[in-house]
Amino acid sequence: MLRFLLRRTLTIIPLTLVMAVMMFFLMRLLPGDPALNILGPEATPEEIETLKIEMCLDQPVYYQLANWLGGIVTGDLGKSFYHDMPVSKMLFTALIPTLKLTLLSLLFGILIGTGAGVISAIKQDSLVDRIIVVISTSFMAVPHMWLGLLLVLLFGVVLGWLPVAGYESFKDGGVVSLKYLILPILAMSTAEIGILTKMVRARMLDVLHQDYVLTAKSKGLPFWKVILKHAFKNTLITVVTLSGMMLAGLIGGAVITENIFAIPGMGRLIVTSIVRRDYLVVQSAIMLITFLYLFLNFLVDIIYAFLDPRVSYGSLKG
Amino acid sequence: MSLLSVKDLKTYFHVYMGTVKSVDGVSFDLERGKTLGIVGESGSGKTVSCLSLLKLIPMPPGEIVGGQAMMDGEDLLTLSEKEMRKVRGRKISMIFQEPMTALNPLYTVGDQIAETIRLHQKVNKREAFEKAVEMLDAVSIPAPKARAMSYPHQLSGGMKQRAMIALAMSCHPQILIADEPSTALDVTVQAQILLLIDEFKKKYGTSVILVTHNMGVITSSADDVMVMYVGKMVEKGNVYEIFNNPKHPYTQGLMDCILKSTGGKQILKTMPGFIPNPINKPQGCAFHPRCPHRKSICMNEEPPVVDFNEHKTACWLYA
Repeated sequence: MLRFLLRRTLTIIPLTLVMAVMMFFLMRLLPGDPALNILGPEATPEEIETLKIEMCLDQPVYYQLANWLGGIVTGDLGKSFYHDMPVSKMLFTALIPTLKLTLLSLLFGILIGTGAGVISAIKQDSLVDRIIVVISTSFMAVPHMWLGLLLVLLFGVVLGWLPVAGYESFKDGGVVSLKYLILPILAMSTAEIGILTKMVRARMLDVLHQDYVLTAKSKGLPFWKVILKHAFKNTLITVVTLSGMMLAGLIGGAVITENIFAIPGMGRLIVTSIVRRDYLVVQSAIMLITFLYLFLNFLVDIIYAFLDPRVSYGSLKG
Repeated sequence: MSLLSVKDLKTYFHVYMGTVKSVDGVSFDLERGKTLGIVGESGSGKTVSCLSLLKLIPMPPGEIVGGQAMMDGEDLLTLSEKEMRKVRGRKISMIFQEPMTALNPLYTVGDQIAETIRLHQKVNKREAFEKAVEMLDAVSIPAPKARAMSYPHQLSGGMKQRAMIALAMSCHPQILIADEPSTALDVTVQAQILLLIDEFKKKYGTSVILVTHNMGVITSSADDVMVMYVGKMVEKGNVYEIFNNPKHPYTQGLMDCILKSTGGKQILKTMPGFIPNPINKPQGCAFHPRCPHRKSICMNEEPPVVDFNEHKTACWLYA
């Protein structure tokens, strides 16, 4: 297990490096000049030149790359071109709302999705099962940005129960601050709920027909114990696998959702920074997301080993 | 008085294409400390009969339509789910054909046995685990303590079946239902498993219902035999009687299929025809399309059960 952990940690390094180089060049390929952007169309060529020197943009490209990569290692990500603020501080303030949004959406999706999937499988072919299947299919089909707008219209504008948009940190608003997150979470987790419900239902039906479930019943165990202890634990692998995969979709989806609901998270930061050609901010933000994603997938692999004794990374060669 | 007395058991499955009468009026008695062998081809209703006794038929689509199964003065078929749970694992337990899949892959063997013990006996977690280790020792698993802490995938097929027997016998049930316990195992291991079941039978006076399609297994382990064909009993009696003096053409056919070693070259015999579609059973005697002694009455009317001194058969040849 320890060897596996070490090996997995080491593979994160080259992956991150490749992503870093790619992001760096993608940003440079975008047309537009950050200095021109900041100073506006009336700026004289001399002013633009001075600003470029100030931002190190006059240096050769490989020098800029090395400089930035060195910064990642030492933790000094440089300063934003636009705001007079260190990039690391901007990232940190934007990361919290995004993490809150994606992780809560994931959690909510897992709870509802697995719950509905298990109920649907236990009550196979009943009315409840059919209703759950229809709802989960439509959940999978609905684009979340469109659903987000409809939710805003219904709960925000027509009924007026929830705020239309905005964000409040937990420190300022306490539990009440979560009301800003309800609609975004609903919008983001629908697709996830749909997929999870269907996959958990299928897996659960498969497990319920396994001999060991019959063995568990023949021992004299009560029904709920057969379901929770013997059947459900065998479907958890599916839930974990899907959650790891869906997290990527959620982080990507957050870019759009944050813009709809005006949440000052990573998505918003990236979009506004791309428009401003704030190279360092975009690069570092994407790096952070990459790193988060790799880390969470790493976590998923470890959870596997805990859930299923047949998965033993210690014996794997490679 | 017999320990378990099953009368006219009927278990049907209501499926899209119609009703499958998997078990259609089966009666048998199980004596204390004896082994009843149930023989028949696949789909003859052997397994469904056994699962009905424990009410483990998936309902729906299955339904126990009628009959009774008397044990200790109560009818198992009328018990509530809660009362039934006290029968399962304590009075009647069951082992299955596929030891590979019968144990939950996510829990250790010891934990799974201890779970049964804790369910039916007032012991704490540690005592239950110790008892589980004792049971593994009793089924001759070497290094029982280490094996108790192993997961099923770390055990061989024969070991797993031994562990299943340990699990089934852990609360010393009065009846052990063994559904093809040796079919999925290596030939060398098959005999060991059957011997182990016999050993428990002698030691604790457990009655065994042994379901199989292997006549050889029946001769070595059973005291009484019931032969089934598409949901009905065709012949029933003492194992010597059935083997030396088979009455029903189907039993005779099964006997002919056994490879006897008499020296010289042997040709393996097979029975002509196939088991009929359970939704569309032939009229009259279900065996008549394959029967070499078919009479016209066999095609129209169901045969009565004829009794020759505790040796029963359902056939028009003797009516």
